[in-house]
Amino acid sequence: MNDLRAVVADDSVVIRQGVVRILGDGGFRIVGEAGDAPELMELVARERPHLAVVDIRMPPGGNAGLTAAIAIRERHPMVGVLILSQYLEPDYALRLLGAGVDRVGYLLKDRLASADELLDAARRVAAGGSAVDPAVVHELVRARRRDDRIGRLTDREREALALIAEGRSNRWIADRLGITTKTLEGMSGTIFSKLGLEEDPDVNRRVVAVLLYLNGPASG
Amino acid sequence: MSHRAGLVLAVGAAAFAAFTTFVGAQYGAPPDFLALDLIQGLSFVVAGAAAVWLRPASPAGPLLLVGAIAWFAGSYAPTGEPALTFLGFAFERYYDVALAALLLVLSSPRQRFEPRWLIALLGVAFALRSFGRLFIALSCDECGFVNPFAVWVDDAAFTNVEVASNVAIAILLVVTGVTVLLRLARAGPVLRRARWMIFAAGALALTAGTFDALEYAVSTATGTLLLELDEPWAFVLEWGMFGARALVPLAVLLATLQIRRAPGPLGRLAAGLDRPVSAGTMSDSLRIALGDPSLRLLRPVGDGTWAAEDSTEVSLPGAGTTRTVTFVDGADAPLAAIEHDMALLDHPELLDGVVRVLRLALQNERLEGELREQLEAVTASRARIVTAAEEERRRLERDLHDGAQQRLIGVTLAIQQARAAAGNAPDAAAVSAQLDRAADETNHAIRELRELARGVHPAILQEEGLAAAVAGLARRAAIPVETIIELDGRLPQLIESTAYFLIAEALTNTQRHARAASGFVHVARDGDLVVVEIRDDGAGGADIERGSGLRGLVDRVAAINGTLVVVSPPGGGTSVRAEIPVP
Repeated sequence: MNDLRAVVADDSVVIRQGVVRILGDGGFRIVGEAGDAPELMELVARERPHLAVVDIRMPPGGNAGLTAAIAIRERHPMVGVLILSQYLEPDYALRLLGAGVDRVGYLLKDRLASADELLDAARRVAAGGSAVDPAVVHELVRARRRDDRIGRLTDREREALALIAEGRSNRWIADRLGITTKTLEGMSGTIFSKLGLEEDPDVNRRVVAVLLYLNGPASG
Repeated sequence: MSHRAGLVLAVGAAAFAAFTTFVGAQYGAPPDFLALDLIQGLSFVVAGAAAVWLRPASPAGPLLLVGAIAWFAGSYAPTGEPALTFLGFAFERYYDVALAALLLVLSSPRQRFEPRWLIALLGVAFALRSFGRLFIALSCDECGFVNPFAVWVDDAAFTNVEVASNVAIAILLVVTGVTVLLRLARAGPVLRRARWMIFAAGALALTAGTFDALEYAVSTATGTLLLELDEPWAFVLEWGMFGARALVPLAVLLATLQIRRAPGPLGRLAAGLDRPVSAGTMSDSLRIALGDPSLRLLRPVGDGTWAAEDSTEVSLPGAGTTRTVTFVDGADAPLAAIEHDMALLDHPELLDGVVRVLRLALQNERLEGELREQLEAVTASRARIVTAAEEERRRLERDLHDGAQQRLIGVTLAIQQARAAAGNAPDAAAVSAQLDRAADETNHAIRELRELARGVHPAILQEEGLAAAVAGLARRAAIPVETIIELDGRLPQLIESTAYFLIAEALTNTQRHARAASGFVHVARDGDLVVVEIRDDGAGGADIERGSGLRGLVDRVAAINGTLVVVSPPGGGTSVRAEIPVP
């Protein structure tokens, strides 16, 4: 079971230990902990884990965690990076996704209140998927609520769009919406054509396309 | 000389003139002689009185009045009465001594009787001539008159004394003339310009005096005149000689009156100094006003040292030069010093007026300087306060993030652990529900703190800059807000945060009060300025004076030397535009 190796980086010992415990309980094997960005880089280079859970704001200063995460994406594309952040800022999520659409996640630290949400995101990222915090997606969708093209979507289509942007799998979304995967694929095609986006079979690229669309300039 | 003493002297001279004229008339002097003599002699009285009155400090007045008395002392000659004739003959033309003294005084930088020996020798030579004329008689019969004062009768002695004294007088007058000329050559243009009339008349007077003395010496020694002339030329020559002397008091009078009417330059000076001017301009104005191109305006540098307008340290002119210094006194220390030609001391009113105007200008300049310094100090302290407030906000955000927010997340982790532990307890469901509520509350607090921290100072502003932070503002706005941020790279932190909070506040106003359908934010670089503009299509009617929010924005922008203009016509939307200089 302990075949997923993870490292955890956070300058707050309490949070680091909390994350370590949740991941450990969830079946990850924790192969190292780091309190700052250089330590994390060293750790990742040495251990090549499946997953690095990284605090966005770490020593030596500023958003060193984000910078380190982007560096990890470039140097070690097979290492998944899940950023934990206190900032509800889509820019950061998009920046991270810009460094590689798969094996990345941007999660608000609020989610630590639920072990399942953290584990779910961690597993998705470690397995090569992507995870974007629902609150971040929500803020983007909310900002685009007056967009005519978004307005053409039905409530259910909008719900599906948000879940797509969170990086959920088709199966998961279909389960959530209580429809079949086949129906979801059809709905997904409708959403993309209504938004004028090209349908992409790759889930992760689809996430980025939707997020970029949501973050882009208002149209209509 | 005091006005009173001058008046007494003038009245005395006038009375003496009246007396001699009366005596002359009584003893049969020709009326035309008396009239000409009176007119010329009175010119000394009038000019002397005017000079004493208008220029009490100058020795010119007393000298002219003494000259007047000397003039009339020699007015007895043509009366026919032996005693009067010989007295007049003996004491005639002493005014040449007064005139020589006057010219020497006026050409001396400090208006002093110098050289004293020259005046003294001239006096001695005249005294010698008087002595000979009064006490040594000629033996000749055809002379007509018998000298009632004669002690000796000795032709040779008379001739020797007469020739010697007159030659001495002639030489001394020439020496006087040369001395004056040499001094004029050395003196500054001020002296030459102010007194050229006096010196021109003086040259004529000295020439006439020398000619007179030589004429006496030659005619006494040889029995023939130096210049034989027929009538009417002999008459013209004789009165020309007197007239030449009378020109001097006339010139003194004119010069005195001319200085009297010289307030013109003062007005121009005042007009030129009613606004702050450079030191060079101020000196130039003074040079023009006082007519002294060599003038220098000196400023105190401290410790009693002085600096010229080019900031070089200078020492004040000492004694023995033709320069002097007039101080412009301030409340407790001199404000400035004017180094100028000593001849300007003749124009005390002009100098005094200039000093007064200059004092006003310098005090004005000092006050303005102090005001400017205070303003700079206040501006600097305001900038420091704003910077400190900005730093404080950043610190607060950091503390919230690393402190309270972090701890609350720790709390949620603890709650989660407790929930896991409670899973085995008998009343697990109830405990779990309680823990869920606690977790919800905590998460709520975390979200509130996140909003609070962002409101205090958004981390994204510091980390990513204005464009990213403003995009967030627009995204979270209740109305669509278009943002155009045209900046290459980052701006100084204080400008970024000022612009950010300006945009945040303006957008808040728009959403709260303007009933606007959409907003527009534009940030662009314009040379050394950052122009921040926030517009909406709302109701307008915003007023800086009535909204404390707007007032605060104005102050905040002003604190970094920017300006803020709000245009908000009723029904015409609102535009808030700030221009912030980038250092």
